[in-house]
Amino acid sequence: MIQLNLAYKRIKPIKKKILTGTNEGFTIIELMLASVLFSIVLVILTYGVVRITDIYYRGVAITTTQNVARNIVTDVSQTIEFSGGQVGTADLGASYAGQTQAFCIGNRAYYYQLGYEMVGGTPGIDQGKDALVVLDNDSACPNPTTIGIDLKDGSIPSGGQEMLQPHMRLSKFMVTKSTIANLYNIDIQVTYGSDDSLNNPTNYNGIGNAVTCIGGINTQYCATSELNTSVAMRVE
Amino acid sequence: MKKELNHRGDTLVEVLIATVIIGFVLIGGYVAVNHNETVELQSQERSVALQLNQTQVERLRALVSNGTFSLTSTPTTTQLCVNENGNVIEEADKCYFDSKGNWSSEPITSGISYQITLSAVNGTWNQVKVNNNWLETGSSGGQSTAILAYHFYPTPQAVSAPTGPTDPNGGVCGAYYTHLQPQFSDEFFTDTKLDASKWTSWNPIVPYDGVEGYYGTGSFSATDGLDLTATYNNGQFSGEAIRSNALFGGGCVEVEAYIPPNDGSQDSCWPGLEIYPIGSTPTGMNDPTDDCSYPEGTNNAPYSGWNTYAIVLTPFECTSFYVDDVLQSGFPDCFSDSSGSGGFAWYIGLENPTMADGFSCGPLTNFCTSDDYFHSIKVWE
Repeated sequence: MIQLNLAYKRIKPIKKKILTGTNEGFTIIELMLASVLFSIVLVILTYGVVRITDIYYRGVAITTTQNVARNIVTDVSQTIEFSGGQVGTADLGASYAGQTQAFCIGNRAYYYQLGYEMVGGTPGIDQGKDALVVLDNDSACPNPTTIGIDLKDGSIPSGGQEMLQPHMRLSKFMVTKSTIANLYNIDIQVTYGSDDSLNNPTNYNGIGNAVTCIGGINTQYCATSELNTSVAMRVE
Repeated sequence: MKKELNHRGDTLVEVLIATVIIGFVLIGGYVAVNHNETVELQSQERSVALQLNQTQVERLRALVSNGTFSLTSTPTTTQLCVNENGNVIEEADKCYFDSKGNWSSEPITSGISYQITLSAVNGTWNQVKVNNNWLETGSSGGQSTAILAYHFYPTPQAVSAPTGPTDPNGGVCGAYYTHLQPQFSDEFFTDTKLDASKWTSWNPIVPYDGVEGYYGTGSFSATDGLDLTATYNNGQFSGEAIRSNALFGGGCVEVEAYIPPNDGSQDSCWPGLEIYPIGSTPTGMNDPTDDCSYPEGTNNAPYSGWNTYAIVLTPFECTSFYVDDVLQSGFPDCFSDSSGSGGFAWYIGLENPTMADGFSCGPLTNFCTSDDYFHSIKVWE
């Protein structure tokens, strides 16, 4: 009985309020205050979500670019180590700008296009359908100046495999003989991003200023990864 | 209507609490994603560090291969590094490298400075540990370490093809002789018998572009090969071992065998090797038995078509022919063919020379019935 009384006393004021219609709306001041508050909160929330998304995509770009660079270095290294074939050197000068180039390690040929962004659709300026194609070729190694194909148009050799992913470009691809006998230096730089997110996007092999990310608004769509190593032939 | 009136809006306090909660969630997410980015950058640094470690090992391997550094020497220092010019730096506090592997005696100021040292494990350089320290990206600025352990075994030298023989008679081995590869070598079998399994499974290596080396189809079967228990069989040792349909630069052959006693027990067999130039005219083929007036010239001249050329493992001087069970070596014979269409096939076996004219060498018409005398056969192209 006592409990019921207490319950009644607690409900009573509410019931009275509802029945008597004494509910009051927000004043204009309260409404404006709430609106401002919510606006601030929404702006903060939106910025936070956008920022988190940017960082997430940037992380994806960095990771993917790293993996591609690592795969290329591993592929070239192991081919030098175990193919037993002659090692061509990839360190062509500026006269080869804009051309599809090629070099071989044993019977494995690497066709590549430096400084051009690989795209899935129709390539525009500084773009191409392919950037680095590896081909296990059992015929003679192609002459870099007469290979007769253009990776920009996607005319990759039959059986060739593209090693880069869309929106990536090969900014460095150097395989050079070391000053130490029987040793080869490998320098690979893979860059992710379009021209407007990069400084010196079409520079390559260290000619001119380095390819770097501009930063700012497009920073999430830009990443670069450069790996250097040296390997010796295990089999000659 | 009552129900609608019963609905009560959230109070400002409730909204603030909810906002704070959402804010915490967002901040947590931001921190996590931001940390993830830092981890990815650190991962990139670690990838670079591991490649630099590998570079140090490769440089040391190269120094060992060219004799500049000895793995078996007692270390005079506990730590060292190798710079890009192959110089060994024996002071750990001067072993700094940039991300491209360029050495500096001082810490790198622009970019990440990797301090890399190699240390000997168990007192010798056969086992090394590569230690790489650098200051990692991120607010913590802590030191990261990448370690690579490497065991040189047995010696870090590249596997090289044996050097081809030098022809004492001045045979020319062709323009591609620098590509010498042992097309076949059976020199590591037991002292007295060839390993037939090596022959039957032999698949010649194509040494350079344009050559189609092949092992003649049907040249061997289970009943021929080197099972010399059969009766005379001129073909039982044969194999179209090396032929070229495109380009043939030349080759060398060398055989080694025991000369049997001249007591009739082995029909006075001579281990021999016949070579058949194919399609063109090799030059530089030398006849080891010229001194014996070996009459193969009737077939050899002019060394074209399927004419026979023979290396017979007699001692080079006929007077020392009768040597009992002494290991003799047929000197390597080298020849070349620049026509681009030649090649050679070979037959190997024991010859029973015609002895009617004393020490004159007979034609390779009779093969003996034992394979106990061959020791090694090597063919280079």
